[in-house]
Amino acid sequence: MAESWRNRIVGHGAESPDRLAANPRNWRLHPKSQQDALVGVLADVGWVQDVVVNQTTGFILDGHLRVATALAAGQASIPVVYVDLTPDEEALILATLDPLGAMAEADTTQLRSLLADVTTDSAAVQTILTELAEAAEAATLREIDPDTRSKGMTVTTATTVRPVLALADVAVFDQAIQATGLDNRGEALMAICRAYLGETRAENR
Amino acid sequence: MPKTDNTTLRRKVTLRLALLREFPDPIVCEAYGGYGRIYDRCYRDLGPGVVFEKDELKAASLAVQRPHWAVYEGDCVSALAAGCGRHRPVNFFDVDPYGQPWPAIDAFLRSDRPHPDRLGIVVQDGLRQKVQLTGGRNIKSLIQTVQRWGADHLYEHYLEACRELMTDKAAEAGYDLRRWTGYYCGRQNALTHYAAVLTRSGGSR
Repeated sequence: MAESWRNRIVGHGAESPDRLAANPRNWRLHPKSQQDALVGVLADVGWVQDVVVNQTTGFILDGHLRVATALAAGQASIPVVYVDLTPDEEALILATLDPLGAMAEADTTQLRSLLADVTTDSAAVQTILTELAEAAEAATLREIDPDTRSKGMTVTTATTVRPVLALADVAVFDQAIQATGLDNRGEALMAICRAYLGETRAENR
Repeated sequence: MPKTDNTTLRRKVTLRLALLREFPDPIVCEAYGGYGRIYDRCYRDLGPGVVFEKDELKAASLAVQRPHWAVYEGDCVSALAAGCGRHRPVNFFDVDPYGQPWPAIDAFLRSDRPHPDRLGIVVQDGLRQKVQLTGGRNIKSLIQTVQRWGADHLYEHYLEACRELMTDKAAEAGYDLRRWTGYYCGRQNALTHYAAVLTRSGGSR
């Protein structure tokens, strides 16, 4: 049985936003468009996600913008989830929480279907939804009418290109080259390759 | 203008994942391997492919990142033109240069290599900014496009012009352009992303 992942959540509550401390190591910046969109969603729907606070340090781990927005809007309290992390663990979460989420890619079909059902009165939120819809639409390939003509194909000669290989043991490469007895290393490598191909074909007959 | 930004990367990934859904058994060729970020997000779980990278250090890094791929250090245009990587029946061609994609697309389509019945091409095209400044007059790969659209109108219709150009190049190589999507992105919409599904002329979709 797989080892259980620890639950570091130690409680839930509600706090006045002016009692929550911004994390001095917070690296995220929030453009005005994001702030405006968040205000729109909070006004439309309300709180659906807790601000994460590390009980050990008292600092916010996730939710700085929500706290700032709530303060600016004169909100009396916001929902909070408390976690119990060491300072090192806090740093790890602070570094990876958003980037991990940002790694999610778009299933454009699902996204278009979802956006078709989403409405809002907030202009800022509508901007984001429109951008999402445009991006999903833009990545959708469509049938077009072919326009056929036919001309020939041309071949040109090569310039220098090097195959690049990451070898665990470079020395064996040199040993094999040397074993051919050929001074020209390029010819030696070709000889090795031809010999190998010759042996492989003979085995496969 | 920075060569990339987070939004652009996310949209690149979304587009590639959308195109990959059209190919149950993709065999990928990356014309410009770069730092391998697209591979990490889109191609890591696929079978062996082919990648080109001009920068020595980046190529070495790519060889470590994907030891099962054929990694080539050198100019992808001349290497592709010579048929480099033809040992793999590539059916998914990723072109993500800093500037223009058309020489690499030409080189791939015109070279001596297995050409699948169905081919996906996904592109980041950085020419639109230059077109805005010069009308495209000094861009060799767009000479005929400028003549067709006019230097004063090409910027406004750049995406449509790219679709037309892709149709032409596909036809020259014996393909029909069957499915297409594209959009502008990046700062001041200077970048153009597009994806195409090509099928052999006279073949099924």
